[in-house]
Amino acid sequence: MNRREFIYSTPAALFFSGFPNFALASQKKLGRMCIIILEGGLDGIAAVPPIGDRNLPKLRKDLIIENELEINPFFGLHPSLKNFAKMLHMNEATIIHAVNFPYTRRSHFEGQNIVESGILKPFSSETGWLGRAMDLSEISGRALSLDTPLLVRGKQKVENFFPASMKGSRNDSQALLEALQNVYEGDLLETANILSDQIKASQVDFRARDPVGLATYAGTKMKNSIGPRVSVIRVPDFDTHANQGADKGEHAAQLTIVDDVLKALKDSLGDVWSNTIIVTLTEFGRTARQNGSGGTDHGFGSASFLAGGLLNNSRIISDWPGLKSKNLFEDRDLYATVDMRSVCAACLEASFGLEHEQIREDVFFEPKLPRLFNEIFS
Amino acid sequence: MKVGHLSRKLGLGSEGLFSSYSNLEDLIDGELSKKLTFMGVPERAGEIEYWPDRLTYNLDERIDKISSYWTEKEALEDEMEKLKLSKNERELRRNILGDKYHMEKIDKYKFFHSGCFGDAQIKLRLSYFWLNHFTVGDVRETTELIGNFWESTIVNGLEGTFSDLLYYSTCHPAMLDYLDNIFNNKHGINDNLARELLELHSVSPSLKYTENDIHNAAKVLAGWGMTEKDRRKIKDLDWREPWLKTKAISGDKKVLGKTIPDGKSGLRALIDFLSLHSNTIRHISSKLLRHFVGESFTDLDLQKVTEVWEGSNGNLPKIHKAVLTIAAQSNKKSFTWPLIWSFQVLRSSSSRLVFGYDEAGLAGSKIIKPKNEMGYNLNYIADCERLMQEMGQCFWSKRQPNGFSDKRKDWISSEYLDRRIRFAGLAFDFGQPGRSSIEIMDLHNVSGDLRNKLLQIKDDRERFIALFCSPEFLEA
Repeated sequence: MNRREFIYSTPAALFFSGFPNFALASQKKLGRMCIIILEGGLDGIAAVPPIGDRNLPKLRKDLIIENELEINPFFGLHPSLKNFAKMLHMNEATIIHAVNFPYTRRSHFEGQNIVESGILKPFSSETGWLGRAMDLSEISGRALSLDTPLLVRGKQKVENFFPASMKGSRNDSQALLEALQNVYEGDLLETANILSDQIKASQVDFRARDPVGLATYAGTKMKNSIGPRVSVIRVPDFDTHANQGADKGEHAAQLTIVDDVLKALKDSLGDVWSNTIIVTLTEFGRTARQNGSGGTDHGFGSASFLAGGLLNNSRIISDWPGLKSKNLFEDRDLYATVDMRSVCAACLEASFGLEHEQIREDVFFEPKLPRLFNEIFS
Repeated sequence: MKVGHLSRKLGLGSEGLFSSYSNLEDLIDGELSKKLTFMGVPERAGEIEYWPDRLTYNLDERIDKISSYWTEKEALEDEMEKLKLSKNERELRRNILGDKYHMEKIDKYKFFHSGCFGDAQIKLRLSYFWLNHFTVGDVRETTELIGNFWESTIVNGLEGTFSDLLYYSTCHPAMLDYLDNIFNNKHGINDNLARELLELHSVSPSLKYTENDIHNAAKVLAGWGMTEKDRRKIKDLDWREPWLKTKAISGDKKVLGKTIPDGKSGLRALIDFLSLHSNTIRHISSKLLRHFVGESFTDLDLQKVTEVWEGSNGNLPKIHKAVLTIAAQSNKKSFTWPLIWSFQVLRSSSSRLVFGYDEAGLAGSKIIKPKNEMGYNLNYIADCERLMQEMGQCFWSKRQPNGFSDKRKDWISSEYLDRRIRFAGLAFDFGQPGRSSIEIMDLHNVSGDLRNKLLQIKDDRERFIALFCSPEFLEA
């Protein structure tokens, strides 16, 4: 029996108030999934420059990466992504290029909603694709933010973690939580239940709340056999309309954060790294041409980084559309030739053991969604 | 609905509000006709002083201060390089220079202070809505300008038309900087502000405008605003409408089928057109209703507001009155933003967690640092900047241009609940509330069911927190 068959054949853990049922959790060997949302629209062309495409220098003379990290003759890697490059060399990482959700209207807010809901009509869903998959798998997750991202919203409430830093304030008492539970109902009651459980578990130990600190916390908690299986971290500020920079600059600094988050997750996940997949999501790519202010505007196709021990080989997966004017979407954007939903579906297969048919029908509601599991995980 | 209930729904709470009005119509009319003077608390007999002029900076003074800061900063960096100072010494000197010029901290304090003590509370509430609609977050120099954007453009704009508000919000230096229009000129288009002008600030994507419309709107906006370096070279410009012909793109432009004339007047023409577009009216009326009435407002509610908008050419006082009247008549629940709720906790309980400006330790003030019996320095507790950030709603924070959500689900999480509990705890522990939980329940007409449940809680502190964290205060 291979690992995936094993996952699928074991009984599911029960989800209750953010924690899996202890007795069943110990029997189950589900994978972990970490999502990093790159808000603002990642410039995939700068992050993974297609150095073999001779049209690249013509389109963005100020944004050309000089010292890219070597991957293959056609694609380089931005020098800020040193840790990710090591993972590539260790067969623990994969890049999907010219990819995105099939959304072309270039609005941050519609795009982010689609990326999180997994539904192509913006603002039409109260749940996220990962939340629905967690419901199907009956597993728990944790959002490392004040709010609960739409991405992980499903039938069950999801825990949050974002440690308070209010001078002079006291930790919430059980008596107070009980008083609130007495006046709450619905989702407020569920939320108070989660908070009460967190207080019982004394989860007040970790204070850092920058992306890297949160990643370290996430990995530490996910390493635990009764900890959350899913985590979500947001990294903002990829909306590089001006002064984007190349090897250095604003975009490079953002990629360094992503790289540090990936390393922090790997370091803190310990042994369960081998059973983990990390995925980056972004609402859209950016224009192939630079604009008049040394930046790039909202586009379509981007790149996604995958990392984790669930990958068996490192690859760059792309049906590269080319950067000639006639090959650009509306003569401005890199085409997205790979549907990011298929990538997410493959990661759900690998980490949760769900069947592709179930994912496409009950998670993405897209009967014709292509299966990319073999291309990514074989 | 009673006065106490409406005040809960709108996130209000001062004593004057309850004692001055016997019915909702009087309350809405009375509050909307008040002049927002900031910081005055007549009902507290001058206990809190008016905010002093010396801690209020107009736009010209701000631009001067920012420019002076950068000029001195460049000189300082050169000097420190020559002296080969240590990293720590450099940081110390930079901080000293920053303290001399930065206005952001004072602005945040004024904002929070007015939330707690300012008069014309409904106008303050409306100003938060519009400050969020025209979001300006932390980018480059914006944090030094947001205080002025709120006071001069948003608050003053409440008395005029939507077209005026949209125009002066679009061309305020804070907005032009935040959405990168300072880089949008004839040498290269940057469409960031143009895109959000259409998507967020006016017609919304429901209109299905094209990339060409965005591109042409960006051309209209080319030449508006300038980088800090450019600002230092140019003097005597009207910073309320900072347009440079030398950077503009000449010729007529067509946006949404409308021909927009050449020159500075082009932006005004575009905005006048957008402001009265039926999609704008519908989009923003819906947003107002969602915020003040609740997410499940009705089509009839929307029709009433859009009719007032169309009939008044976007007169904001009339639109506001229509929305607030619907809020008063509606039994729909609206969720209260954490920051507004925080102000409500302090006002309703008459807590003094935040002090008068003279006690705040701000520039030029007498620094009084009272300590409570536990030895806490109260100024340290009442760090407005931190409180707003901790509640997840600081208008000076880095955030996306769609601003804070009006959807209830986006604000329900264990961490948000934890913050509310902590904040109410701070108000009780350090604010020396002037009212008991029972008095607050009376003022706000809470339901008999909630009252009975809360009266079962014996501990005063727990009852106080549970009251403010109860569903009837989170979503009235």
